Amino acid sequence: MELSEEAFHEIHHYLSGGGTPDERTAFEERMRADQALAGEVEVQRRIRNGLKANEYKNLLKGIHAQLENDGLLPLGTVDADPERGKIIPLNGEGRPAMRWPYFAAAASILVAIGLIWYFNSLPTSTPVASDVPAVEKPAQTDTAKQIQPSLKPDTVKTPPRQEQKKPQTSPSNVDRTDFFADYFDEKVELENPFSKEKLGLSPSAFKQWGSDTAHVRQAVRSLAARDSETALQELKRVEASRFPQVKSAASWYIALAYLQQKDLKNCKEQLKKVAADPENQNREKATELLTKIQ
Amino acid sequence: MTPQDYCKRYRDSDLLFYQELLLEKREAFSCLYLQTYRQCVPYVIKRGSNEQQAKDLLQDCLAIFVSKIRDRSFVYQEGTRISTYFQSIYINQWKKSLDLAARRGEVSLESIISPDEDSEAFETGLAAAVLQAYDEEERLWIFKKLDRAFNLLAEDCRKVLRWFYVEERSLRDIAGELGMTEASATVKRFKCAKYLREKFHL
Repeated sequence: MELSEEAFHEIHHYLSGGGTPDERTAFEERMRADQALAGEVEVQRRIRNGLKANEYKNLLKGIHAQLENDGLLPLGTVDADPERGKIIPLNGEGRPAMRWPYFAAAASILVAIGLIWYFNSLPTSTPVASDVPAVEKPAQTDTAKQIQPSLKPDTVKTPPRQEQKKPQTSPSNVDRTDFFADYFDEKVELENPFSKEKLGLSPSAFKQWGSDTAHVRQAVRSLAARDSETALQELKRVEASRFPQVKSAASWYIALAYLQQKDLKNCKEQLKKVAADPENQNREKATELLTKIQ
Repeated sequence: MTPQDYCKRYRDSDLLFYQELLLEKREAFSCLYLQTYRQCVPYVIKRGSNEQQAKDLLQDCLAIFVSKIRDRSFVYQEGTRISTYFQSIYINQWKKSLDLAARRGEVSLESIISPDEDSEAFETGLAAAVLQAYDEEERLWIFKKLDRAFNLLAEDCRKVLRWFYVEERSLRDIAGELGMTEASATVKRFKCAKYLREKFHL
């Protein structure tokens, strides 16, 4: 059915409960007589309800995050009963949590190798570190301290990385994307603009707040999981948020997502935007990071 | 807030709970989420699902359920607790997803889960048509296809359609937000809706 503007208006007038009982009955009779119309009503109902469901899902994600922060979600006390039917995923996809220690260990080893290479590349006879300095940490660092690479010990102490002067170091020897770990903070604090007394008022704004903050938190979780693609998708949704604190956070984390992707061009552009925004709380960090990677 | 606080007002009246869900009160949504999470998720985790899958399924089904409350497809019935009604929908969907995964060879059952001694508790006699609205196919359509299509629209269309479809604002309000006449807003709304429908084959 070629949908006309008039038909569209009638359909949604009906779906939203409009019209007198007689008008509604007449419309229902028309639907019974015209299958194409009935079909289009169903399509529009599906789209309408589906878009609402998506909004509700975002709201529920926000509620989940809030309840989790409040410590009200009860899991962690339920143990799988080995006597019941146990489901073993064949391809391991059901156990993503089991892989994190291995990823963390692999990431730590790579960082250690990178640091060794970096110190080795210094023009003075900079010794190879005997220990991995606990300065730069990947996102999952719980096992980092347990990694003891078998390195050649040296007699000269190596100063910590931050204090090290780099005037003789070629900029090309420094991997600028390593700065991600220094600047990424998994804890996002977004000041709630609604006081508890106002709960229930301005429901659409409150919903929007819940939805926007859920996107930011999901993005941060994705960045922590090294999934910058998903993080960018989530952040792009809220970079024009009506809430300044959400907008600021989104801008900053977009820059970090580009950095994680090693897309320095977009990262720098984004950092410049953050640095130029007087209302952005991350302005100083952005300026600092921009200086480092330029 | 403690768990008791979120649901305190609704303890004695499921009707009040239903009415406040209709009004989209956040407190009611929070109570619903907390109740259903505590009832449903441990049940499926105990039977082998992981927390993330359980949570995703809960959020999908609950989002659809709430939209059905809002459009009056689900109507309050005396003697039926809303959270218990939802629980049966959730368990039904979880079982279906398990069957589907087993048929695809994605999971291997070490022992057969049925007979489940408390499965009768979740047999509500819900009509197949009711349950179909929560099926995986429908969930994928809503939360993947439709969501992706909507987010690919231009920002002005997303705003208009969100105001219209989700917030059910009047054309007059929408026109005011856009700085247009009501007639122009009507045309804009139609064009955006038509584009969404046709471009993405919804």
